[in-house]
Amino acid sequence: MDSAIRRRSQGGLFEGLYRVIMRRNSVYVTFVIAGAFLGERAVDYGVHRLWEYNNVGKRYEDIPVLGQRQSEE
Amino acid sequence: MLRVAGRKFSSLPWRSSAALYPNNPAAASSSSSQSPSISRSVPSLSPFSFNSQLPNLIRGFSSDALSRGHDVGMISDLPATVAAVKNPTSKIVYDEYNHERFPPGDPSKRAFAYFVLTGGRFVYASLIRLLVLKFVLSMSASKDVLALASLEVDLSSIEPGSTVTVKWRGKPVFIRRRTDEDIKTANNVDIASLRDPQEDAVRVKNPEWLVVVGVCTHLGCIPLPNAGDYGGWFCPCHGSHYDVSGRIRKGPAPYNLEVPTYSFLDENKLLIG
Repeated sequence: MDSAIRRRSQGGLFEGLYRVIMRRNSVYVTFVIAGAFLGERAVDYGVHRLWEYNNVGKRYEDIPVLGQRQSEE
Repeated sequence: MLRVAGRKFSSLPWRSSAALYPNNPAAASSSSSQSPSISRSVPSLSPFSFNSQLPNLIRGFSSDALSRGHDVGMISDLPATVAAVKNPTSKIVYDEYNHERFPPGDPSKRAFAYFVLTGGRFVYASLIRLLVLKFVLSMSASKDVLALASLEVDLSSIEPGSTVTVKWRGKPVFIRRRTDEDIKTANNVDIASLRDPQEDAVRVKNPEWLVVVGVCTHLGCIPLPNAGDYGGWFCPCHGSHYDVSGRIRKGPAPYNLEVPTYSFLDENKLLIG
């Protein structure tokens, strides 16, 4: 990886993205906020899936039949 | 072991190249005068300095190994850091015991490092958003306050034509299940003749159920149900008559009985507020 980056300083995914995003601070801040939003969604989804995988069959929705009677008040 | 080997390998060409071009233009004159002596002395000095300072290298202290002691002569008792401060030089030496450097002129991993920092900043932004929300929303009404703000009423036990009074936010609320006659009576009123003109359809969501706040709009007494000349309520304090739709008909009250916000949850449940 070192030698690859050493050989081409013009190319590289990081370099290209750097040139696009980190020119202006306003663009960078927007990128950080968008990334935080998407990252939070991704982490929530991942942790939710992990939790449910670890707790199979224990959710309220997993109870097969709840009956037709009205819930008591 | 690898680090020391790398050191041995890189120190020789590095030091000679550093001597070839002075990187500090302000000290150009001094370094140019020094560089012939340095270039002559470097090949002979680097293995020499290694052997004399090998115990310090083993211990891991970088200051002695990196100091320019062999130039100054190590006569005084100054610690290496003080000696370095007092003898500024353009020949900057970096400690490579713990971290290897890229050779000079190597394109740095700046972009990669910056993106790692950006990843950290994603987390910080998310944290700041969470903290702001938590602190601001902690000042909003708590759940017990909100629970008291609304009231669920079961409507299944109310007969047609009868009125039920419930307490909501400290005030009485009249719930009247109207018969078809009542609805017809309420609709057959000339709106223009009312003190507070309002259609019956505007005051109710479902014509069968009339929900009004039982506080007289005159001076705040509670009207009595099934009393008065118009089949609705009669306020005993000053004699205000309300009709089947809760509108004022006779008496000193200026407005109709207030209609609160309500909604029907089920067929038989009413949520007030």
